[in-house]
Amino acid sequence: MADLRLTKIDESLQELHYHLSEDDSCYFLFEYTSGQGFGYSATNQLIANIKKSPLTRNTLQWRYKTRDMGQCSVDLARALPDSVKAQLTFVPVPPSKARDHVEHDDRMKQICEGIGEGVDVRELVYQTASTRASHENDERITVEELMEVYAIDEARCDPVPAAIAIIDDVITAGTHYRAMADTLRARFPDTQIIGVFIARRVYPDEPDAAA
Amino acid sequence: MSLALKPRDLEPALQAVSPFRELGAYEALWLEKSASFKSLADKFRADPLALPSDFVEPKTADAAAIDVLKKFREAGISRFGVRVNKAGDYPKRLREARHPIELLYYRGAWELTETRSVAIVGSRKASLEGQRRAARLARHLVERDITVVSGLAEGIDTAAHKATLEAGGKTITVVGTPLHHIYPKQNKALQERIARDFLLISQVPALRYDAQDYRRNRTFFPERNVTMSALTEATIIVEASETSGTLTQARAALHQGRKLFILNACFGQGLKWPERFAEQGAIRVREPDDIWNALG
Repeated sequence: MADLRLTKIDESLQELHYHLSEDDSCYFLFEYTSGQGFGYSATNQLIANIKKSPLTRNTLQWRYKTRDMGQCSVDLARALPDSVKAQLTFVPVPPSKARDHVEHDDRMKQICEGIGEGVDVRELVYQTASTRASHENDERITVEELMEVYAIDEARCDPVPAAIAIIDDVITAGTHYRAMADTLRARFPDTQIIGVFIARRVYPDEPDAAA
Repeated sequence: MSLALKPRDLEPALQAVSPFRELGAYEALWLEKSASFKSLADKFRADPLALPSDFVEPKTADAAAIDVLKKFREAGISRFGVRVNKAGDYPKRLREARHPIELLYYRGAWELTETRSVAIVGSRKASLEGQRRAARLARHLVERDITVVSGLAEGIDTAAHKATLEAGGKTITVVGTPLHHIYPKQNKALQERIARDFLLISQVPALRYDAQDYRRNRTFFPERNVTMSALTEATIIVEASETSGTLTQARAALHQGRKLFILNACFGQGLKWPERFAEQGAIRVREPDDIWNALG
């Protein structure tokens, strides 16, 4: 069994992820601290690296991006028991830029594919239009706005998944997870859905920061 | 009718860590009569894949967790975290302790555990000169951007923490009381400041601590020194008597393969421990460079 376990977003952690309800089963590996920059912690560095824009493809930064994406795959592979991996269809949260956009970044799909041979990775949800990247963005996108641009890729729906893990790098309020889970739930009402994240976003310990 | 499984059905197979459940289970294990850091470590040594919740009924664990949260809330602590062995962000180096800790409570910025850190420790009843030495060393560490770790006790610990803050440095305190206690009382403001702006760590089970005689709680102090050593790359002893709890940290540092520095002033005072630890590999510090050269 794994030397690295997922942590469940249980009732003691849920307040920072207010789009989640008691019925959601969401898990993460590490904590990412908001507003502190990449040098603040190993996880801040990891997340900053994997989020590097595809426009940096021909720079030295790209090496860190691909290296740390590989690390995310390894960590997920360690933390997910084989019996669970075999049951799951990994569904990455679609990139904020649509497939034809120059900054389209399918890092989460690649991270899922790196988990191991034979894992079922399917982009069951895609975006019909680009949205602004929501991470650390003042003007946050809403669940409703996301659900308007999310569409099910019917060509990838066969066979019906036995269980779905929605995969993303950072869970903040849980907006993308909520929109993804509700979109997938409508299409696959009998399929289990969980969320798995590399990191959950926390705030530096200031009394009012989470308000 | 749908035969679909509910989302929770994957949960047992995932073997994920629920912080709430685990802190309750850890507290419940500590409420067992013969519980000690050794007995708990033995339990997990015998079953290396286990989490605290594998030994405790869910109902019992959750009830204990609710009790702990209530105590913390009543003490005005709304924000705290736990780190659980096997989950992410648990520092692997803590496993080098003789009786590794499965769960730690903290307040503040856990990320400070990722910084380079050195512990400054010593007597509660410290001489003025000892306190000055501790403060001077703390300032040297701050200049080198090294986090100063200590135990918030009177004397040397207090001098080290205060000098660090005055110099604009980073500090971690590993306390011998549960999160909802303040000790010593005169360090209330210091404890709060470190918890708010830096990092306060406690391995002390809240329910056991409140349930048992205060005299038995004294053992939590030297035991936290073991964790302080495991967390840091080196320990500097400024001043200590032959029976000081500080010597627990000296033994732990050597056992864990950490550097142990003993200030020169400790030698030749009729004390046996400085020579004894020096023979076992501790470094006698005649001038500050002895520390910096060894730390690299």
